[in-house]
Amino acid sequence: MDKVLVTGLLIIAAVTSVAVIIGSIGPTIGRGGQEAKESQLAAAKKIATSFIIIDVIPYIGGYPPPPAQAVGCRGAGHSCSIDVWMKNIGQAEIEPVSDLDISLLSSTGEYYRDNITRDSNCGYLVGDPTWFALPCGKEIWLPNETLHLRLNGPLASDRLPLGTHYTFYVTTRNGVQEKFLFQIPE
Amino acid sequence: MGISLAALLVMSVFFTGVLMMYRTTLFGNVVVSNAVDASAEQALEKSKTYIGIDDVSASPSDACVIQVTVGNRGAIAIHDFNSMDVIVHYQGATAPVRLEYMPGNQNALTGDDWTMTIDGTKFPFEPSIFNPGEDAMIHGRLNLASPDSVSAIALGTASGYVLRYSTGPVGVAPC
Repeated sequence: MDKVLVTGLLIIAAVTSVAVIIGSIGPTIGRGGQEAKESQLAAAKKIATSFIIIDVIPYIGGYPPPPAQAVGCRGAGHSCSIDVWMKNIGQAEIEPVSDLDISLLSSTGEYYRDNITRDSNCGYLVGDPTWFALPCGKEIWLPNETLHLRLNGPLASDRLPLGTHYTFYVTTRNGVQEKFLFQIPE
Repeated sequence: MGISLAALLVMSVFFTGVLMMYRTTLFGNVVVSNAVDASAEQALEKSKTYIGIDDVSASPSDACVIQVTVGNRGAIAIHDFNSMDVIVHYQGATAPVRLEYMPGNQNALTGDDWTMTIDGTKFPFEPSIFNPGEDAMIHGRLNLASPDSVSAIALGTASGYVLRYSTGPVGVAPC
């Protein structure tokens, strides 16, 4: 009789313990597993994200064709806009394009603009350098696709002198970075 | 009996936890491994791609058409011309432009587009594929408002190979 009672009590204790353990550790294991999965997915996405900067061309003279507005251009002698073509050579889409981090650094280190403002109107903001993707409003950059960016050059207080060298940096939202050295023509 | 049952229950909980973690790790490993494989394959393809530019000139018959003589000096065939990039730098006031690929021959070009021709008599093997060892000519029709000079050409392939080629001034004019 005693043995049956002890066995019964032990079974009840074991089932209760298991229930308590599952109730307390189960969600933790689930969350941990989910986080590990998300972390690995992010790592895989980063590996699958790859792009190259094909060309960076400073354009001096009259302002480029629409959608940019033909205002504020400082004319010959100073860079008005910089056209950038980049190709997505990875397996992952890069989106949103508006989250790209665009930076410009001169070779001397004197000029540096980090996280340049994106102009959603694809125009020409007075006061600061801006950038936008063409066609205006483009947000998804597919694999194998070439993306055209236009960087509106610094304005009066912030001009890029002719003949100087700059490095153009592009960083995606998941931390993949590419850079390209170019020269403002003399 | 009771102790054995309790032990079995505890073990089942333990193994369930281990299996859950293993499943998650395995899933992540497969995803990461696939991404690494694809990335390595892409890098390999890029390393096998090499296109050389031999000459850039304006067409003798059309001043708005540039002719770029290229050679496939790599170890991989190129066929996806639609994914290639041809970007033209000008010396003067004309804005830089990326030409659009147009299948067909050079007579079908309309402006700011390009096509590639491979001389079938010289290279009869797979005439629409740019195989290693072959030479080809890129014809680019430029949309110009006034005469200008091309100063450089950037050529990119789908694999990520890019060649920026300084052409020297090549005079071009509206058609």
